[in-house]
Amino acid sequence: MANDIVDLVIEKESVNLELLYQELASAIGSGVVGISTGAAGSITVHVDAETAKTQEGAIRQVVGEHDASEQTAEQQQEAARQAEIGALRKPWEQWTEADRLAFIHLLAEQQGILPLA
Amino acid sequence: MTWTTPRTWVTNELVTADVLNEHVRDNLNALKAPPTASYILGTSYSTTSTTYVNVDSTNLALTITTTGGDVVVGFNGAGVMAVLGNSGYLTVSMDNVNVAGAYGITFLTSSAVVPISFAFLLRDLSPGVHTFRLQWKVSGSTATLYATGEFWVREMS
Repeated sequence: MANDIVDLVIEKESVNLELLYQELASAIGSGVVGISTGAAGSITVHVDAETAKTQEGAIRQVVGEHDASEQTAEQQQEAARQAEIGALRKPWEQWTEADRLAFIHLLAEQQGILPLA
Repeated sequence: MTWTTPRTWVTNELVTADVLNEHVRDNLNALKAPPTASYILGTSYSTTSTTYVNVDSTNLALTITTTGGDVVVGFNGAGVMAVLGNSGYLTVSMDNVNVAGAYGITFLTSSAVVPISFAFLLRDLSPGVHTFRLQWKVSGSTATLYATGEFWVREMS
């Protein structure tokens, strides 16, 4: 519950939430339960009470060194998937057999019939 | 406006202006304007938290003083999951206790922006001050709520 979690509000103008979460999880461990954004110019790092007591300095260092322009592997995969979808936005007459197969594959992934690539 | 338990009238009792105003005027006014609080989202929010956390501890925390009875808490907005195959869960904590289970009141699974809303009935609340906080978590990836919509709470009975 939220009342077991400590919220550390840290100034940061630009952030890639998923990448920063991975960086914090790697550096700090399971005591970091997540990161949130809301008001411009700051983020909230949600940590358990023990981690807040012992790791706040390390957390602030990781946040300070974070480069929001980089992507996680999952984000790169999602970008590739969106690019595949974008390539299919054309009149039906222009669709090739390869396009149709790609569309069926994308639909099957979206429906959970096939695992995401 | 304060609600007063309606009196039981007895034959031959003197009906005064004070008694009528308290039990008729004031109670009708209380029904017309029940305890209500709301906040219109003015910014977008995102989270990667896998444990329920407040969406906005300051603005999406609504406090009302109830007279004892049912309350409806609701939300309408728009959201998205960054990566398909993950889920975001919305819930409400009342006085720091999650009113729903582990999967919350509603959830978000789409990687395209979609409307998300709920109206949740809480029964037989004790009279007094209650604080309702919009909370969320994800199974993975990032959930985003856009700067649109409203979080609200109203006593219904």
